[in-house]
Amino acid sequence: MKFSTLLLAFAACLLLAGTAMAHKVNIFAFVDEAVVYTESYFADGKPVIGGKISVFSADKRLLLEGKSDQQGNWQFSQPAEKPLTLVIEAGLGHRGEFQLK
Amino acid sequence: MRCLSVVFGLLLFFSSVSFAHFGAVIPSTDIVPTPDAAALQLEIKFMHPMELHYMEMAKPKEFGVVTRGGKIDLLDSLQETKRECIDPKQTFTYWLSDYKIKRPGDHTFYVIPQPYWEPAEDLFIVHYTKVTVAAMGLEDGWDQPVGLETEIVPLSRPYGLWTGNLFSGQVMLHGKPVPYAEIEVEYLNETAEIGEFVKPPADPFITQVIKSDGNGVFHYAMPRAGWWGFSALSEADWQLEHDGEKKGVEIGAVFWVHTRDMD
Repeated sequence: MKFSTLLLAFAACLLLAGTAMAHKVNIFAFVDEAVVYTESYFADGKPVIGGKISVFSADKRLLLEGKSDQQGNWQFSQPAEKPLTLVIEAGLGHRGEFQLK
Repeated sequence: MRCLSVVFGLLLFFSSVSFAHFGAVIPSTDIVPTPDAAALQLEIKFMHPMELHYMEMAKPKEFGVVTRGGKIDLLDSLQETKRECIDPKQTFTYWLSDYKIKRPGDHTFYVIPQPYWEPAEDLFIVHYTKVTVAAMGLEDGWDQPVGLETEIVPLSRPYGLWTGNLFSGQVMLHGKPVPYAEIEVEYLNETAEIGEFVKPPADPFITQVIKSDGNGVFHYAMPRAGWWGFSALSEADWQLEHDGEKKGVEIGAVFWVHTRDMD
């Protein structure tokens, strides 16, 4: 019992390590009618689910925070500040950034 | 001036030989990392890439891009352009397109040219030509066919390739692999970033020739940084008329990839 649990944990570690190596996290954003739409995805096209997204102003003030949904999307009303830096964090050291001008 | 003398040397060298035709679609970059770099210019030509000979190119029948599963018609974006070729000293037509990438994802550009009459071979030539540009980290779609009569479907991701990497692909005709297909490989000998022209020491170095396996799968390791063209030729099961006579049509599946030195 103990051994099989250990084995399972080991297998999980291998799996996660592989994922961490192979998948880069990306965030893309565009503006449509004063709404900023964000899409967060891994290189192979899988959505980043439940990723933490932070929106910073040019002087690095945190303006907003949100979470990507099941499709990797999150949207918010366009703030007055320009440009914006969007940062996605998805655990395991996964981090992506996007400059929205 | 230095460039001219190199070209002249090349001309002397190549004056007696004739080589493979290649359809070409060459984008200004194969990787768009951010929206700042999203404005592409594509050159669409019909040429002998290693010797830098251009053939007169009529406006393509189709030009478009496939991205995120959708096809966008870009035929209206084509601008006719002329370039002088030194041997023979004539002006040749090729085509330019400006295209701005809007969304992340692989963008596979494809060209279907008008049939080109080649009297020396007594046939028409139609090269279905493709290139893939990667955008903003979403690497999906490069392994998918466009659905052309004949095409090369990459088995190696066709961007972010180092010099010396193996490029693998599968030759398809009507959606089926072509067993033991012959593939011609040429280097585009005008790569500005290299700064000098390649001088092949003997004719067989100009066009590399490889064959696929029984499943249409081929491999080639690219020895230099720049653009490389892969062309698999088949005979069409249809004919065209020239001066009232039915003539055969050579259809080519052409794919271009770019390599960079690891330094």
